[in-house]
Amino acid sequence: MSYAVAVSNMTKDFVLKEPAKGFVGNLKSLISPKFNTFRAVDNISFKIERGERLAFIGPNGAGKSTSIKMMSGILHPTSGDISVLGLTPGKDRTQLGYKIGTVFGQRSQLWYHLPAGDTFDLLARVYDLNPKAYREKKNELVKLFEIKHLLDQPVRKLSLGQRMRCEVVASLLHGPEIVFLDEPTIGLDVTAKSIIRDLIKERSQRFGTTVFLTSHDTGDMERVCDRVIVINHGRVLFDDTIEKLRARYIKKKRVTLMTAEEDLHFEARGVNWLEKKPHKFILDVEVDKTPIDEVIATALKHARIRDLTVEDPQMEDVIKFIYRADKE
Amino acid sequence: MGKYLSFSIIAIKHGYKNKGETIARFAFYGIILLVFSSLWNAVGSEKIGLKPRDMIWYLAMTEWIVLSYPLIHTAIQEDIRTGNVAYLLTRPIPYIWVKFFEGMGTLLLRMLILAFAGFGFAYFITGGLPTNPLGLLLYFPVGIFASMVVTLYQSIIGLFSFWLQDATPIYWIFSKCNFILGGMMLPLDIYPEWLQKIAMLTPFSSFLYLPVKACLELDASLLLEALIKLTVWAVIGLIAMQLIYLRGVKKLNVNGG
Amino acid sequence: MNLKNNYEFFTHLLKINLKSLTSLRGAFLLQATFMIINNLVFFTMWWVFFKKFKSIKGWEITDLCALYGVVAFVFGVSVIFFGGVRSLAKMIDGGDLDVYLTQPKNTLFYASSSQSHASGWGDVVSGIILLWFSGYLTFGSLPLMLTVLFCSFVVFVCIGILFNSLAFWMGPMDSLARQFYDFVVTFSIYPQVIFSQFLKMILFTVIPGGFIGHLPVSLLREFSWSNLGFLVVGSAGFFILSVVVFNRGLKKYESGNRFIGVGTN
Repeated sequence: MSYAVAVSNMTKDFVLKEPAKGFVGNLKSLISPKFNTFRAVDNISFKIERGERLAFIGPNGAGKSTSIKMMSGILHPTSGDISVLGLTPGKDRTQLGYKIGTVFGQRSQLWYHLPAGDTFDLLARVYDLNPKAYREKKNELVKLFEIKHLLDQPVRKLSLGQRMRCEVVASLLHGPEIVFLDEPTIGLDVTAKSIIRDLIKERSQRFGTTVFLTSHDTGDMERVCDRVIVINHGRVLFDDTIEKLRARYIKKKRVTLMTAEEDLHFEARGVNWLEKKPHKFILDVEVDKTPIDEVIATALKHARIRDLTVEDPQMEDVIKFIYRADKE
Repeated sequence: MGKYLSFSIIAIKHGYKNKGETIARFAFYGIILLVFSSLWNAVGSEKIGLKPRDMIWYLAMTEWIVLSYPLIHTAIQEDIRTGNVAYLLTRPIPYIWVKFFEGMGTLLLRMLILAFAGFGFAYFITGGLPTNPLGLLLYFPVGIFASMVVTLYQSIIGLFSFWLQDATPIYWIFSKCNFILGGMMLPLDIYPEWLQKIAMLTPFSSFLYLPVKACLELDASLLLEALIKLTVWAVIGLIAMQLIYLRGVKKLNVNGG
Repeated sequence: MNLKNNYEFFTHLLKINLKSLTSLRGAFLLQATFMIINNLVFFTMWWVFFKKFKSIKGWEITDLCALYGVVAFVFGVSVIFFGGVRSLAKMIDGGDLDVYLTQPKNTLFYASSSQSHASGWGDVVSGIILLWFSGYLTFGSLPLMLTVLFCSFVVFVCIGILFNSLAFWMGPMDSLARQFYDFVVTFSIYPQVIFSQFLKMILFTVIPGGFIGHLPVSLLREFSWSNLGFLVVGSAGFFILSVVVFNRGLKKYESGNRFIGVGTN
């Protein structure tokens, strides 16, 4: 019982009807449909300690949502064992419901035409919370997430970032021991993303809440989590700390520079010029060879910089790195 | 004109794909005829001067129109909800005309399909053709003309979506007016005198009762009356649609949809 | 999971539903009042009809008034309390049950009662008006009236659940479920005395409009224990059937193998 989550050999197959072609094909498939099995999650095992923050990362279609749905009791695994807080999600769903919180980035649990506070009050009933304890909890979360000024406005009038803050509060009202966040930053702008990330982390550190989040955004894991599992095609590619992932596979950052000068060039170890246009330059930097701050300092010596962005590599690039490294 | 018709053609192609809905309409047509034939058999329609068989044909003919006309307000509401309307309004073709012609496409496709349903069910249930079979042939173009005018008025209801969050309540009343004032289920002849007079002053009696009655009885003067009235109501509807549309566009431009 | 908590949960859902409806006051009033007009205008057809024909095999205008009143009232109450039933097919197909599944309340109950429709209030009001004019609404008949209304309500909600649950197996069939619902309503507002034996049988099974309108009003016209028993057993049967079918469907939902469009992640 010392683990928050223990998953062993979790596998999920979907049976899909083969799409028919043409009228005759349609008729045939009506009488004897052909089925294809698609393995979305393939024999995954891992354990999560209590209080740990784990990122479940992978490109679209890797099996992240399917996994999170199995762990929160929405889907049953085809085979394998799942234990969440000592319970079996599919079987003890109601019992588990009291102990977990969920946020699905693409679905809202807030009532659209009402202020978020009304949904909170309803959730207090859903989780059978004691009125006094609920009020205290709500006030505390409202303060932490700075949503007091949003509480009187109908949800439909909130921005996506504001709404997501309310969604996260909604999932925390009953003090869950573990929160599952499925793509919590999807569609948010940079500022809103970082606010959400910081809040999730702060809240988890303060109360020892276990966090399990899926994302296809490498930024999510870096800002929130200590540990990362990378999956692709339903399989685990990597399971270790963020530092190790970074040290081994995320060696590059992409820097975009806008300059006052029309032209710019300098050489440094590990710097690779991808694009050169008048006033605009894109370069890949291998950070273990030349740190970012050095690259920028060098650039400043050569030109006056008007704008600057530093980006993490895309998820797809990280996956490619891992594959390549495995082969070597 | 060609570009307008192309909207109708797209709607026809789109409608062809909605098989489930077509089947449901088909079934509903049969059910409603069955219910009423049972009703007429139970009470005997001779009391109102029509053979039971002709009563069923009467209903089949009015329902042909009622089950075919498209719900333009739902399409417009969808455009407003998704914000598409802002983009569609900037097109060189007036938005409401696009919706009207799309509606016509849906209408014609449904009428074609439901013509089989109506004829088949009515023939099967009554066991024969109406007293004046020629009337059915005549009704084919007349009914389509009447439906086009109904579609025009449906477009006007759709325009109310520019002001209301949901124009469906207006549509309820419209459809009930078709029921009652149009004489959808009961021919207006059996109404009390005063209600008949009111019904005749509204467009609804020209949508359903007049054309159907004229064709069933092969009454040339009644048919002429129906056609003239339909034309007059079409002109009035066109003017009203244009005026309401222009006001609606102004309203949307001010409030930004 | 005790009864008191669930009762409080349900009343709170009602409260929040009502608040959500009335937050758009214009739309709420428009829908409710126009639905009253809609129903009463429709009934004028029967008024016209009964001016010519005095009765339909013994059923008079007061009976039709009661019939239409019962159906309007029951329809209204069910879309006010369980408005989500009409959207179940859409929720199932769109994967919107996920949120309800992860929360510790009964999924069917929660999803069904988390929507409410403004027009229902118009139906309820017109239902009461029609029942009032039918003359069957007297102090002495109140217990029977409430009993038959309740049974009719149960059948109505449960067939909604049944039709919409087909989406677990058939995928996108939102509009089809709604059309089917309309069939039932259409059949329930005509006195079944006009139908043949075969059709009557259909109306108490596949398209159970008979339980919703005809049987309750028959009981109001002339009480009989056997008919009451039939109504109670019928509504209990539909209740059990709908819950069983929904739960079976939910198993299918949990397997993720729905008809079309299983998410690939």
